[in-house]
Order: sequence, then C-alpha cells, then structure tokens
Amino acid sequence: MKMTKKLSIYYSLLGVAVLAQMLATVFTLSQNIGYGQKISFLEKQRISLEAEKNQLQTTLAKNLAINKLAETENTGYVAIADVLVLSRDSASLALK
Amino acid sequence: MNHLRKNIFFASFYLFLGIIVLRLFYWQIIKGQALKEQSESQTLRRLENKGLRGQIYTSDHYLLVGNQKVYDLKLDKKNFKGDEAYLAHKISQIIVEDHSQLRETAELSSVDKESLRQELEKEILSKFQSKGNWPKLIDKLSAENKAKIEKLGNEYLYFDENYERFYPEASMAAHLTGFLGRDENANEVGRYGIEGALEDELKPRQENSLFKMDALGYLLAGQKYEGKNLNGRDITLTIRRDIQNLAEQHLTQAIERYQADRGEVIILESKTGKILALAVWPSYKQWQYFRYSGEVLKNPSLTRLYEPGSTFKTLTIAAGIDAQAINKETVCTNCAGPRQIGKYSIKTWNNQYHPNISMIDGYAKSDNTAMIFITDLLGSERFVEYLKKFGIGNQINIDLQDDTRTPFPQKFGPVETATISFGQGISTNSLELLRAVNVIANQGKMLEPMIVEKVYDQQNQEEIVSQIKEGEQVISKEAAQTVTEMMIEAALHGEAQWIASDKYTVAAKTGTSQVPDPRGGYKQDETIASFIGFAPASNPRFTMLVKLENTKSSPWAAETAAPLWYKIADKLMILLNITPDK
Repeated sequence: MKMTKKLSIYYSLLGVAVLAQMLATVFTLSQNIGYGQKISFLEKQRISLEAEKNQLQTTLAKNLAINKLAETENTGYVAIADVLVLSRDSASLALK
Repeated sequence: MNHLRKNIFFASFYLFLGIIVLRLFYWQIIKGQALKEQSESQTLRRLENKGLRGQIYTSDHYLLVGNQKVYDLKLDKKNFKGDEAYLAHKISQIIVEDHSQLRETAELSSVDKESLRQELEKEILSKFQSKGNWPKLIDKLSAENKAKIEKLGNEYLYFDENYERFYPEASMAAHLTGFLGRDENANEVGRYGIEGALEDELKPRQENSLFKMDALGYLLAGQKYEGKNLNGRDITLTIRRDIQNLAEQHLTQAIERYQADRGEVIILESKTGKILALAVWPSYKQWQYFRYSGEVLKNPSLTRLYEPGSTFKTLTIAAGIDAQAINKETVCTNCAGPRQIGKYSIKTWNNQYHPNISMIDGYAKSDNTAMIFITDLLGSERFVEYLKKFGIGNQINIDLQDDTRTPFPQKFGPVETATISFGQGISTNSLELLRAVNVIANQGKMLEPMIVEKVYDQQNQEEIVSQIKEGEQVISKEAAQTVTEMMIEAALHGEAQWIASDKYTVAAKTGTSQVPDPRGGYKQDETIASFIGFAPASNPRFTMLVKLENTKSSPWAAETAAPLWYKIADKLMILLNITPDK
C-alpha cells in the first residue's frame, strides 16, 4: 500500500514535469515561430520602404532637374548692364 | 507448449527488431546523404542580398547619377491566347508616348513617333515567334509605363524588377561621371570618369546567407539575422550644378556661334583647386555610351594633348620674375626683329616688332621675341626646372579614370627652349595648364585639382571628406603678385581688350595655338583658341580656361575664346556672390 502511494506520487510528479516541459516547449516554439514571422515581415517591410524611398528620390530628382526647371524659367531676365556702386558721396536716397 | 509460445514471441520480437535495424540502416546509411540533402533543400533557404550602386551628387546636393527601378516585360508564350498583333500595337503605343522611356531628351515629332511605333510593334511581334517560353518583350520599363501596361489586363504578361543607372540631369558632366558599362563576362563595371576611377567605392556589395525556414517559409529562430546596408558608397563631387550647367550651355552656344569642332570650359576654385565645372563638347549620353566612339568617351581635359601657345607665356614670365632675371619694366634688347636661332627664324604672331619693348608690354602684346629674351636670361636648365615645378609633364592626381600622362620634351636645345618659351613644341592638357596658371592665382603655391568633395559610407554611416592637396611654393608671393599685375595689363590692353570687363579686374591671357601636322610643321588652316585667367584679380575666386578647337568664324582667341570666357565670368560673379572690385 505504502509502495503504491509512493509510486503514484512519483508518477504524478513525473507527469507534472513532463506536462511543464511540454508547455515550455510549445511556448518556446510558438515564440520562435513568432520571431521568424516578425523578422520575415520586417525584412519585407524594409525592402518595400527602401524601394519606396528610391522611387520618391527618383521622382524628386526628375522634378528638380535643371533642364525641367529651365522650361518653367521666367525668360524675362535682363542682365544688369551697369552696376551701381553706392558710396558715401552717392546721391542715393538709401544713404540719406 | 508454454516454452514454445515464449520462443515464438522472442523470435518474432527479434525478427521485428532486426527488420527495424535493417530499415534504419537503409534510411540512415544507404539513403542517408540523399535524404539529408532533400531535407536541407526543404528547410534551408539561400537569401541573396545585394545593395545598390553608390550614387553621385553635385556639391550643392543634387543627384547627378542615381538608381531607378525598372521592369522587364515578359510573356507567358506557352499559355498565351489572344490577338498578338493587338497586344503588340497597344504596348508599342504606350512606349512611344513616353519620350523618357525612349531615353531621348527631346520630344519626337508625330511622324517620327509613328515610324518608331511601327518599328517597335514589329520587334515585339518577332518576340512572339522566338524559341523560349518566356520571351522578354520590352526591357527597362518605367513604373508609369508598367502601370499603363497592367491596365491592359492581359493575364499572360509578367514583370521582372531590376535597377538601372538613372541620370536626372541628362548628360550633364558626362565626362566627369563616366558610365556603367560591362566587362568581358557581362558584369557591370564603371568606365571612365568617377564611375571608372572609384569603382571599388561605388560598387554594391553582395551577401549570400543560408537560413533554416519552417514549413510556412518563415525564418526559424536561433539564427543570427542581420539586415545590412549593402549599398555602394555615395560620392559627392566638387562641381556645382548651376555652374556646370552655365558652362555647358555657354559652351554649346559658342561652338555653334564660332563653328568650332570641339571645346572645353574648366572652372577651378582658385584657393582650393576644387573643380566647379568641367564642360566638354562634344559630349555623350551615359545611358547610350555604346553609340559613341572611344575618342568621344575620353575626357579631353586629361587626355587630349595640345601645344598651348601664348597662354604658356604666363609661365615663362613667372619663371623670369621669380628668378629675378626680369621685372615688369625690363627692356628687351633683342626684340627689334625676327630671332635667328640656328637655321630657324622665329617671328612674332603678327610679324610686328617693337624694339626696346618692356616685359609688361611684351606679354600684353604676346611678343614671341620677348619670351625668347627671358629664356636667354634664364638659361635652359633653370627654365626647365621652373616648368617642372609648375607641374608641366607631371601626371595629374585626380579621381577620374583616364590616361593623364603628359610627355615632357627630352631634348632642350636652344631651338626647343626658344619655341617652348611661347608655348610651341611642348604638349600639355587643359587641366595641367590650368593647374599651372592657378599657381599665380594662389599666391605662388601649387594646388592639385580636386573632383571628389566627400564619400559617404552608408553601412558605417561614415563620411570621408577630401582634403585640399597643397603642393610646394612654386614662385614667391611677390612674384605671383607681379605676374598678376602683368596679366591684368594683358587683359586690359592685350588682344582681347575690346571685351574686357568694367566691373571687376581680370588677370588673363589669350592663346591661339597652331595644330601640329602629322606630315611635319603645323596645319595652315587649323588653330586652337584659348583664354585662361582668374578673377577678381585682387582676390581670385575662380580660375577658368576656355578652349575652342578649329573655330571657323575667326582663328583668333581674342574673338572667340575670350568673349566666351567673359560671358561665363559675368554670370559666375552672380552665382559666386562676388562684388565688383572696379
């Protein structure tokens, strides 16, 4: 009788240990799967963001290209023929 | 009986065990390797990670060469059902409508477009008859055109993604950037210019790693995963986009106006040696490099040797003054007529002679006999020594892939010394001459021309800034000041005085050099017109060389290269925010 009790305690403890190990394994594996999924997701996101960044950079460069800007340039520009140099003796209103 | 049952049981048990052992032997030993490979092929995934090639920027942070995503259009030929002609027509229509797709800078006329479309349609149709199951109908499609083709809703069309070199500023600074070509194994490799010289910096890195994946294709844990940036290093050049554009635009106009065969404009920052612009005509489109001859692809500022002519007199004058053999007012006692050296009679460019001419006037009038007089006083050895100090014949150390060697004359007899004093019988390239004249602008100190401003390493997020490369003190500060004064005088009263600026002081010299004839002597109908100088002379901000080859409107530099120099300089004054000093 005594022996049977000891055995049942032993098997109960063993059962608990195995169950705990099983739970721990399942939990760790689920973590691992989650981790793998997360890495794969982040990697895909990184690639797509990089492609998007490149696309934006390309569009920006195309829009800022000097040839394109020259097309919209105001062609009414007139070069200054004579530069007005102001001195202390100048009769300019700005100096008075 | 009982014993027999026991024996049968054990016999069956051992037989069963034996079968298991044999089976295990079969799977683990005989089929072991094959199964291992099969398992690995199901779980191990090779991840290929490749970065993008480094980009090239101007010093004012504009993208000059980048990377853009393009798409190759492929057809599932095996399963294709539908009207081939209709599909080819539609695709060709989309392509022709977008002139950037055709990589043409100008819009095509409607007639050109239609003939091009028909040609393209024919080409696409021929792909339907090709051998493979997945023929490539069109390559390097833009994202916009990909979207338009997707709208056609054809289920047999697929797209492959790729990256290609992208030039937002079209062919600007082509001779500086170089291009991305291919080597003998069809691998991409930079050629000429920065692309060639800094191939190791620009090229992307590639990493292949093996990872264990689960049944769903997700990464299994416990493995070190590192998402590295494998892009090549970005290069920032010293050129400014607005100045480069200014130089290129004006050079193109001048080529047309003066009917020249070739031309160059190089602008240096006088105090640092940084190249602000380097324009070359004829230029080329980097994305169509295969359409041009090797001669066009080379940077003439480094590879095209020429006899500099009168612009070289600046170095003769500088040597004479620094060696105290002459000063501004020294009188030439041997300038009354042509100089007879050996069997050669050396004349002035206009066959006019000025007895007792001063050095300052001799330089302004570009008098050959006055230059021979200086080398008479200096002696050949000292003259050669000065030329070497000015970097003539010394290779230019610059980050551009081209042959930069310039030969230095081996023989320096009396005739050679005399002709070299006024820039004949010696070869140089434009950048070498500009480096030498910039010594005067930089108070007698040598500066190596620079083209790379900085290099940015994306992986380590580290920036490497180029340092100014200062050389030796070639001539004294005082001598440089005197030469500057003589150059100001030459600009004001020399051959190009009619165009001289009244807003700022310019120290410059014209040069109309002759072109050697391979059959001996010089070509009678060909000249190279150049104008070299710096401004404002009181505090030089830029040193510029303008060179025009074989101008038909006038052979003289004063009437071609000089006006172009002043036109560019006028606008540079505004771009560089320089106040007039007159």
